Amino acid sequence: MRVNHEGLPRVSPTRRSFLKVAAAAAGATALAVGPGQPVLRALAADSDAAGAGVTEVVRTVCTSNCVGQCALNITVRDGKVVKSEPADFPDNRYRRMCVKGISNIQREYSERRIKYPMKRAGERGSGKFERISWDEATTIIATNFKEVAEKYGPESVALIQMTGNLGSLSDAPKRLVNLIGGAVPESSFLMSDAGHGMGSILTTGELFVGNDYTDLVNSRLVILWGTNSVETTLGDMHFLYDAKEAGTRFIVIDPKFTPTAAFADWWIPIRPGTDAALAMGVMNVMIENDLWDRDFIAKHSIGPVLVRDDTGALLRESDVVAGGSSERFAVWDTVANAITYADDSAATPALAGSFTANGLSVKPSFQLLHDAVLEYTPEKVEEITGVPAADVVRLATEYGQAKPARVLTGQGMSRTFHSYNQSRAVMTMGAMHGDFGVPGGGAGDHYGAAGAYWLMAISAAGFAQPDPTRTSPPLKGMQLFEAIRDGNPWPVKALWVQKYNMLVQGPRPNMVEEDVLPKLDFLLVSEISMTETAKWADLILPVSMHYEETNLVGSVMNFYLHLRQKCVEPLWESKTDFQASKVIADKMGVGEYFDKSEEEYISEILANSPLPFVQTVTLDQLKEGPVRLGVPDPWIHFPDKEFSTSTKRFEFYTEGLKPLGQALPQWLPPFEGQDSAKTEQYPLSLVSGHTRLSGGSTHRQIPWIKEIDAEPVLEISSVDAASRGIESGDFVTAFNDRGTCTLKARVSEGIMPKVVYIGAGWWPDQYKGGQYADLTYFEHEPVSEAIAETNYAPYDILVEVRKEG
Amino acid sequence: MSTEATVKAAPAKTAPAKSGSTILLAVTGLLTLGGIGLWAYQLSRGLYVTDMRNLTSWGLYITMFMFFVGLSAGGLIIATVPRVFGLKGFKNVSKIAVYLSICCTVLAAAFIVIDLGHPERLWHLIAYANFTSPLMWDVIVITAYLIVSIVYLRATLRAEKGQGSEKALKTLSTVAFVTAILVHSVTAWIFGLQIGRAFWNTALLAPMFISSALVSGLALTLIVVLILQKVGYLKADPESNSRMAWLLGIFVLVDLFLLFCELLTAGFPLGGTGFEVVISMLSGAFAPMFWTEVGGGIIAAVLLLNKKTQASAGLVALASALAVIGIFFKRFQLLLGGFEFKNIDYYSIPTGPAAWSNGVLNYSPTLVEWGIVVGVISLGAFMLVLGLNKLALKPAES
Amino acid sequence: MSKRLGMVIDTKRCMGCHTCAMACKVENNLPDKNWWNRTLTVGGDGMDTPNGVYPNVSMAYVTLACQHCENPACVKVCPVGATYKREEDGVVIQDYDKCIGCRYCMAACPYTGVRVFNWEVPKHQVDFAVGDSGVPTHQKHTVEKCTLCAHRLAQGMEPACVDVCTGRARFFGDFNDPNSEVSQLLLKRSHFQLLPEKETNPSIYFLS
Repeated sequence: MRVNHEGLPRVSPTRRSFLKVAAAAAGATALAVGPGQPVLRALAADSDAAGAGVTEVVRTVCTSNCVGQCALNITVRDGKVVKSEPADFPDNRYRRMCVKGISNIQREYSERRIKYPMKRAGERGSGKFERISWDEATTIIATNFKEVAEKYGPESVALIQMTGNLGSLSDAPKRLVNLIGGAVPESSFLMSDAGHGMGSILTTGELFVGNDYTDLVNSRLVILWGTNSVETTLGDMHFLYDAKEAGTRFIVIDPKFTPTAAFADWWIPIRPGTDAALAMGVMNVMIENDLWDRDFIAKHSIGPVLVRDDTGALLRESDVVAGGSSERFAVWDTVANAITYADDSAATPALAGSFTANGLSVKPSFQLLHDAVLEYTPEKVEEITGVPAADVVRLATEYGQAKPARVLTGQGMSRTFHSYNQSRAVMTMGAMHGDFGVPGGGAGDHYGAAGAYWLMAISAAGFAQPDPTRTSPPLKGMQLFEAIRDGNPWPVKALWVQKYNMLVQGPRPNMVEEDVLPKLDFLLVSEISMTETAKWADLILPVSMHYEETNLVGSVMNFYLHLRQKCVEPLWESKTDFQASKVIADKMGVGEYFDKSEEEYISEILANSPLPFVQTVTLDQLKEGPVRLGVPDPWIHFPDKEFSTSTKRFEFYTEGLKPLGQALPQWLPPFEGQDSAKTEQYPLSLVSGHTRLSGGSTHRQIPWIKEIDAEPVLEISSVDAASRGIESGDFVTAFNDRGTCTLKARVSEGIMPKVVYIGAGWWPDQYKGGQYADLTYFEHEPVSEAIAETNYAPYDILVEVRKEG
Repeated sequence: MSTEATVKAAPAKTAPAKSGSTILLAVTGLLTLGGIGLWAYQLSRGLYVTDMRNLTSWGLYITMFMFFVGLSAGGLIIATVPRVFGLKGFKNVSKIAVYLSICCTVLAAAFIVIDLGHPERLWHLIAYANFTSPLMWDVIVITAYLIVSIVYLRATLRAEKGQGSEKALKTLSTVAFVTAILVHSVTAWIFGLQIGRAFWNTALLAPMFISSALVSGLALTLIVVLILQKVGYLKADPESNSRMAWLLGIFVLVDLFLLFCELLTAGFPLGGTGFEVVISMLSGAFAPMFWTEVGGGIIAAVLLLNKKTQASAGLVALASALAVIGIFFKRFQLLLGGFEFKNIDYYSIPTGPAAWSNGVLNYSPTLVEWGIVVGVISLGAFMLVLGLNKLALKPAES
Repeated sequence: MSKRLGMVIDTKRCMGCHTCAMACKVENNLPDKNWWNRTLTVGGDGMDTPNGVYPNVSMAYVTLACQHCENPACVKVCPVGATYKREEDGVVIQDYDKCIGCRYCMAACPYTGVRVFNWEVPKHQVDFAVGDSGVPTHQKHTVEKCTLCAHRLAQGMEPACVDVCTGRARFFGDFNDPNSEVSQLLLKRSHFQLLPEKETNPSIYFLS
């Protein structure tokens, strides 16, 4: 039995355990002995004495639409979930739980829970439904899918998923839709979570490049850039507290004084959408003051690689000698005064200057970067970002001098139009600092390393797509609504929305409801609760809560793999996504792909993984508790400083983007920034952020959560509020030319003037009118499209705010 | 012939009085029943039907408790002091004052019981008594006080009939007097000893309660006496009235003086919680009640002490009413003030359900609370009318 | 020697996440709207708003529940001894069955809001008891508050709020044991109690 720090044993069963508690024993848990003798023995047992028969504790893992993946001990009493407690990890530095996980009990037993399959019985969106049987439902689904496929082609049936359940088996609908040749658009861009990744891919070739959080204690300095870690990754905050106690300094860069900023040693307010400019400014100061890591740039970045003046392409061996490889990249050896190649470890490559090779004028890409950052003087950066020039210098100096230092970046800075741009610039700054691949260093997404979740996505690819020959062409998530509305690139006529509150968390719900959904022949929604999205369905399938299912779950932010174990039977007629897919598959002729049990598929996913350290994990091991995948502990990313790019180096120069003028990081004005002419009408920048009380929109309606925080507020600076006659508690409307949103105001000193903030995930019925997403937009961003696709940009919006009443 | 006429005449004299009190008894009886009905509703639905909530956990009922303890103690002090100190008293009204005091004591106790969550557990006060609690002291003292008051009244009535000794009566007076002082001191200590409530925590609270008790008790007695004189139950007694009025005027001034001491002491530092309290009374949330109390008090004192106005029963009654109302507002301010200023004021979610009112003082009594208060006061009126009719409360001479 | 049980809360590690408050709520099957433990924002006039003037602002959090004072104001005033301090470990606790609902303890306690009264029949969102089955049933018209999870102490466990603290900011133990973690923390770190001038000597210490 594990003990806590006081030596008191912690009750933490490592497997399903049964504790039969007799009513008398429960009642005998006396309140006290002592001077005030209890009049009557505590009769708590009386209230559940009738059923106080069986209590068991089941080990499982949470899903709260978040990246915590907290191991849980669920107490089940008389068949009901009554308590969530944190469960032990083999390494209890990872043991944790949060306010959302505890409150999920009320989601389980919520009156909003969808109980039966339901068919629309009124206008779409009226919320009128009638109950039908699963048999009828699956027949309707199969019929509709087949009809659409026959009329328009199989790719006209689409499935859009999001993050309501991160278990591998929750991809069962994807498995099904892939098998019937339907389209499964990419979801992370629609979610607005992919901007950062694009920048990371451009520079390092990988999405997640961080060290384990247990390594934070080794950093001298940590910059939290656009991440509100206290609220979004609270389960891992204690690692930051440990680091602070050990002497690490923290800087937070954010337009809002979040609880994370309160924790940090220095808060730098910054105009939304201008983070790239600050990063360029920091690089400017670092170069001017010789605070950059020459060694790293020379050996591990694209810095020495020569770039052709004429085409902007990298100089390759094939450009220099006949028959040369196009995989070898040229550098200029300053000692030999001649061309050599990046893989020549004996060379002393030039990082500056201009050279000629085979008649071609070339420069090292670092020279180009140097030229690019030159214009970002602290004064220029102050103009763009609102960060005082002196602070730019101070930030750069402190960062440059702190070795090792780490930068954790969040979605807060990447949910802009040029979404790839901020992380690209910030990570380049990290490369200039040179701490990749060392304990305490690095720059990248605050999720840290590509944890078990991502490794399981790789491992379960075969489960999600069992037969590649049947797959339809890929569809961009941000194109989904166009496909439905305009038939571009092809008409999508049947849409299955699964684990996604599309009409709250997605772009422009007002437009989607008016212009897009009417074009659908069939809208199917799999949901746990009657969300705004479910209200618009033609058919709703009731989905089981995570207490009611078996699933395989990988942690996003560490390397633990969990088995989610069933605690209680599915309520009402709900089925897990896996079970639902099975019964639909039976009616669509692909039932044989779903005829094994959950446990069998889980074992298959593990055994079939291309990753050896996943293959070795067994179901029985997982039943005992979370299993850490066999990667080094602590995980230090890029230990050999070899990146996953074509040059195997950190690439701040991307030749492929030269035609679009984006070969190098630079600052690009936001779509609706403070520099835009639109500020005449709509002078305030609207941003949002996830709060600790709800993962997306998942927890906003939980009564216990609402007792803490019941309605959205618009945070506005005292300066902006005063000029509009707004006081805390007044109702205000935020509006632009796309929509409106009415809610209470809160005047705060903790937000930049000209910036307003509304927390994420509030349901429309919690606003006085409209909702946040009505203010957003769909626009295609060419560079993002060239890299992958446009990232939804809900933090790049201009609005005006007026007082109501 | 003449007997017939006499017989015919007699009923005409007493009939109006009888039917008058019958009506009074009927009305107050009905209102009392209504109050009991509301109390039953409160018990079943829960104290939720009041406006009290976790951060303002006492309200109108405890205010009334304080108020009626004051009214009762005052009445009894007026009745016993002359005998104790061998002064010229208010012999003609002292029995009425004592009986009035008894009624007020009963009402005070009623308010406490009504405020309790579990009145059926009242016996716990005996079975599990905790003697460090000022509330327990008050239970003991009020019980003793009720008994002593009744014994004293009974002894007074018997003494008039020639039974019992004057010496015994004097001893009883002393006991009653001391108990009366004690009742109000202990009631004050319920609040005054609480270090957690700055508004209450002053050594002056017991003297202030006694002073206010004298004001309200005498004022109430005076009002009742003036009414009874008006309806003919008592003979007019301008000299006694004047003396009582004058005494009341002095009491009002003393009470105002003590209030002034409090304000000066708390306000002089020009900062701190005490200063916040003063500001809230002078110009903040409590200002309306405060200025009614002070303004009313000053007007009352003038009316009572001025020889000319002292002679007018109407003006004296008005002044007495202002004094009583002033004391009620003082009590209400005291109670609400204790809850108004929070020791830990950081932003927090509520700990329980929201109140019905969104009032400035976070508390505004609901109709149920007022209804119950009316019911209890009606009970007092009922008891008073009954007592005036059934007991020999008129002065011995008549 | 008897114990003096209490808690140490590290304000440098508290992120105001309400997890301890929610854990208490579920563990003790609190009626709707009742909270025994709360997260307070030390800052502006709203949740998570700072004090100061932009951009020089600051914010911290304090979690507040019964302080289990060594010199409790509430124990003195309860006329029936329904609230009392246990001799063997110092926990200040209520006996719901004794409570007559006079609410004097609520008036006496200086720590705003830590005592909660059931103004009506306790209602719950779900129709069964959550949390630990050893928790005394909530009664209408009685006062309740943090019990330091006495039902868990009886099973040798620490309070739920301590076990669950996401920031690992809460520590529990015996202040009468100089070697306990909580005693050691008081030696090593500067700390404060809430409302020390009220002379209640709480058993909850905050590290600053």
